[in-house]
Amino acid sequence: MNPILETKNLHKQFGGLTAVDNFSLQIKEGEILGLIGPNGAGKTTFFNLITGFLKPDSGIVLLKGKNITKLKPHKIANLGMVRTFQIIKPFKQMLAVENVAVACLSDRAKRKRNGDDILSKTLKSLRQVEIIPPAENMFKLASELSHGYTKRLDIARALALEPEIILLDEPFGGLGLKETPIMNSLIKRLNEQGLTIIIIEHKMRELMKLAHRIAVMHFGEKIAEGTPKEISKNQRVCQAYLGKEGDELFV
Amino acid sequence: MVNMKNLKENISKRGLIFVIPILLLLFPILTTDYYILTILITANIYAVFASSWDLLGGVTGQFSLGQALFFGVAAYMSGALNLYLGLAPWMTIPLGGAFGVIVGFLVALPSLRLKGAYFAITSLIFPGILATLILMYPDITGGDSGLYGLSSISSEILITYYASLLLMIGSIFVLLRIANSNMGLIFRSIRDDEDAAEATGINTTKYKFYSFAISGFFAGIAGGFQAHLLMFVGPYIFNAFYSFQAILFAALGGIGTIIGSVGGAYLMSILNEVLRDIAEFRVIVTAIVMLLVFRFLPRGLLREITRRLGLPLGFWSGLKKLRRSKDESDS
Ligand SMILES: Nc1ncnc2c1ncn2[C@@H]1O[C@H](COP(=O)(O)OP(=O)(O)O)[C@@H](O)[C@H]1O
Ligand SMILES: [Mg+2]
Repeated sequence: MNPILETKNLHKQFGGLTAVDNFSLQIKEGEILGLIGPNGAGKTTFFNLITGFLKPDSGIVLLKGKNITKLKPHKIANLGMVRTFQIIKPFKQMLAVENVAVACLSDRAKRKRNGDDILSKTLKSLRQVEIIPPAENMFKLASELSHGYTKRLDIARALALEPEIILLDEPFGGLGLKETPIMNSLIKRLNEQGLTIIIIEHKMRELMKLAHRIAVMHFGEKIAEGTPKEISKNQRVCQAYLGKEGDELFV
Repeated sequence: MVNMKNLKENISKRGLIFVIPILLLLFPILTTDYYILTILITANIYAVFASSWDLLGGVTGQFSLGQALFFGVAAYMSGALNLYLGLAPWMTIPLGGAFGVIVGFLVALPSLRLKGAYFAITSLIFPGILATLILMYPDITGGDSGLYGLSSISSEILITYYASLLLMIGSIFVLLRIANSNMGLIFRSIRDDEDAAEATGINTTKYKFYSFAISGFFAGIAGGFQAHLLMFVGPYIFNAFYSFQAILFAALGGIGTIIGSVGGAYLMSILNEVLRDIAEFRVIVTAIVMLLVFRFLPRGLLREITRRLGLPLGFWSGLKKLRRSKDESDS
């Protein structure tokens, strides 16, 4: 089967620093792929490259066989690949419900809405990530929501576009004991509904439970790829995570 | 915090907003004094000018420091069309607005690459460039002495007053509708986080152009009206002071509220006149009023008043459907 997303020799240089180094990856439809690697490995830069926020120096990105390398971010989102941000980016001065309504005004959401009005589409996405009920949550300003809720608001906004593939940049970052399992089951549920998901994490614990396949990034390069089990036994991966981070890897 | 209940109440209290235009319509019953009406006419023009900035700066987050550009170009265009082609004010003012749209598109270009403070500083330069151009072609523009002898709006001050009121109420109504529409929601998302809006599938470039064009139009008709009111337009109109006034009035009323600009413009226009006799203290007293407002009502007069009275401020009009469906399920 053809991959839903494929990158070929993706390369990005920041001055003298190689952030992403000839990175080739294939993502199959319906899978959860974990992208791991120490801080600064180039994971977020990889997301920026495939979503049009940065232009690669060389290499191509194919979404369902279509070359999207030079497209603007909003074009790529409207093609069905939607991202969230490591540092959450809510529309702070807008209500939670307004945050999601914006996404419902995108071309793709309009096309997919067929008949449904914007508001009911918005409420559906908010329900999907369990921000509502209770209904009063949607009338809070995004800046008044707790960190965990804001993370899910980001995902609700992405879901409103009815994506085929969603890119989550450290969805567990900063989440407490109560929020982590909620996020975990949300991601699992979305995948069961057919959504293809790439998750960036630099800690492995949550990812081991979720991902079907894991790719490991180190200094911009892909150093390993395989099932969670294979990865945890991989020599190079253990070396990359040497020292303090080595403990994080297997907790 | 907003909740379902006070959102419902807010929507039903929206009618109260009509009290202000009715009072202004009836105002000439109290007095038709030329001097007083002129103050209010000026306030109306500034209300439109400031609210045009508010759509761009306050709602869309494109913090332009050069709003006088739209105002000035349109004033000159209206003046020139009137002087050279003999067009009447009711034609030259909307045509001035159309030139505001064109200038808006041109200014939007640098905003696509320059963000935040960089754009603000760049926008500060444009009016100066225009003023220089005006001085370079005195045969057409009148150079330093400007264009004078333009047709007045009307020889009757009362008619001029009502024309300015119509301009103000009409403009505010349209701008408010835009700010609360789907497009306005997108404008606000661009203000809050442009990258997130792009990631959400919004063509931010396109919507920034819209915002600049709309803002340019309303600043333009305000400029055209001013030219005919004074029967004169000179290069001083590009002074940065004008641009700052637009922001000041909007900020006094409440940035991003559109209608707050009306309060800001009226407050400062009236204050200016009251202080005319003590001209030397005018700047100081004005500064003190500004400081007091920003110190005690940092989010602007309007936000504070509406909060106290529980009146509505703008929100996305799509939420009205919520009330309707709730009412149905309640009953
Ligand atoms: N816009 C940028 N300009 C310059 N350097 C950058 C930029 N973005 C990321 N980097 C650098 O590229 C490297 C990879 O960063 P990043 O992709 O954020 O890593 P990760 O997400 O894996 O922690 C880091 O060394 C970072 O400092
Ligand atoms: Mg990162």
